[in-house]
Amino acid sequence: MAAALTNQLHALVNNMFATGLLDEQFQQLQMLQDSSAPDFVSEVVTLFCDDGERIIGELARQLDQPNVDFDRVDSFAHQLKGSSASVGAQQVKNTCIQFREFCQQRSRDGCLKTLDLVRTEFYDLRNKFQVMLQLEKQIQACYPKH
Amino acid sequence: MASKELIGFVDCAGPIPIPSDRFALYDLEHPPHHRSPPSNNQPNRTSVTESTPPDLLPCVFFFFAASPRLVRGKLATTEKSSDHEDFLSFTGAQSKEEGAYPLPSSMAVATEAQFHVLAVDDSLLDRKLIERLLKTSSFQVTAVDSGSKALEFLGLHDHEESPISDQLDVAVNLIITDYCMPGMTGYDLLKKIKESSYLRDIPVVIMSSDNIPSRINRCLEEGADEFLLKPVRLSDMSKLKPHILKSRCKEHYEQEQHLQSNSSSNSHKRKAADDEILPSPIRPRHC
Repeated sequence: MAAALTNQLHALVNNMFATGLLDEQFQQLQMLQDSSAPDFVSEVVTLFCDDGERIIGELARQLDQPNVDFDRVDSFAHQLKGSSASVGAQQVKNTCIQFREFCQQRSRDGCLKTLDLVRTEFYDLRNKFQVMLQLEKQIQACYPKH
Repeated sequence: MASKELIGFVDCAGPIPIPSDRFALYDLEHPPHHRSPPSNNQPNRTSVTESTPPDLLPCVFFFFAASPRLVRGKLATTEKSSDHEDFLSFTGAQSKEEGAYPLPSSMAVATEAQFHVLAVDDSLLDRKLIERLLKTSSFQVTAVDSGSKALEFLGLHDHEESPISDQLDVAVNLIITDYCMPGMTGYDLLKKIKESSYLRDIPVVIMSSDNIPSRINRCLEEGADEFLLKPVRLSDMSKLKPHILKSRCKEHYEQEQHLQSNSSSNSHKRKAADDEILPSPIRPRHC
């Protein structure tokens, strides 16, 4: 049972690397996890998912204003870029970089289009992260601690 | 460092902690509690326990490198006098007036101290990451979410130059801060630290997710010791210790100079020089 789950987990994560969803920063996180910090990756991933959801909500709210405060929008995009870079979420990070360029250009259209893109990518990533964490939990459950 | 146990004796002006794993070089087979204290009756010998602040640990090894006359006791745990002699011959310390001697590389390997790093970042995710990176690299970590909290932790309040003594029971060996933070930026924090005579010798490292050369130069010119691009990785951690060791070396060298100039009745005095000579737990111990 554990072997099948483990294979599934590896296949998922490898696919995420292969498709550019994740970059080597995620491997850095994996390296930092050990017996003294056994839940490090899941904690960081969870923080990212919560952060991301909050920021995307803010971005939508800001862009909905009659007069968009592009500096504020940029600051949120910068935050999301930072979180995604820290967690190795390469695709989301790159979209945030695009986002910031549209903020510099004061382009509401550009920002809205990029917000759609980042939202799609973020939720896709989040779903995969959730499957990943679920698989890990199931694998851990195969090895009960005494 | 849970238990308080006698793990060694060192000649020094104050207590110096030596965590038990530092003895690996000398006595791999015998854990600390099997060792018995040396029986030599040397003057000014101070007992060492794990309860003393870790920040003083590097002082021991710098004393060896820079001033064997201050620290000449043995770290080795056996009682055989031949070991003691061997140890002294490592340092080459024959008399109190001898100068610096290089540590044998094996001793250098065993003498990694646990330094205390203050990490500043408004992002919870990044704080978690830097904390883990630092702990994995054997640093003790305090993480705060703003520059003002960092200054508070360091004992500086608003316009006060002198720290509040009852808050200074923690020493900080290095400050690592994010650049982009709301309110006080990492650059603002850097400036405040460099403006303080108490804090300015603490090495400061700036982190930023943006690679902007003018920003980097500005920070380095203001006195930052290093600029790291985020995301920070494990390999970046090895860049931190050299800055800590460099600043301590400089400080002890200055102490040494001051002592020598004092003894020769030199009238030159530096501001707060007295503060730097005697280690004291209630001082802003940035060394």
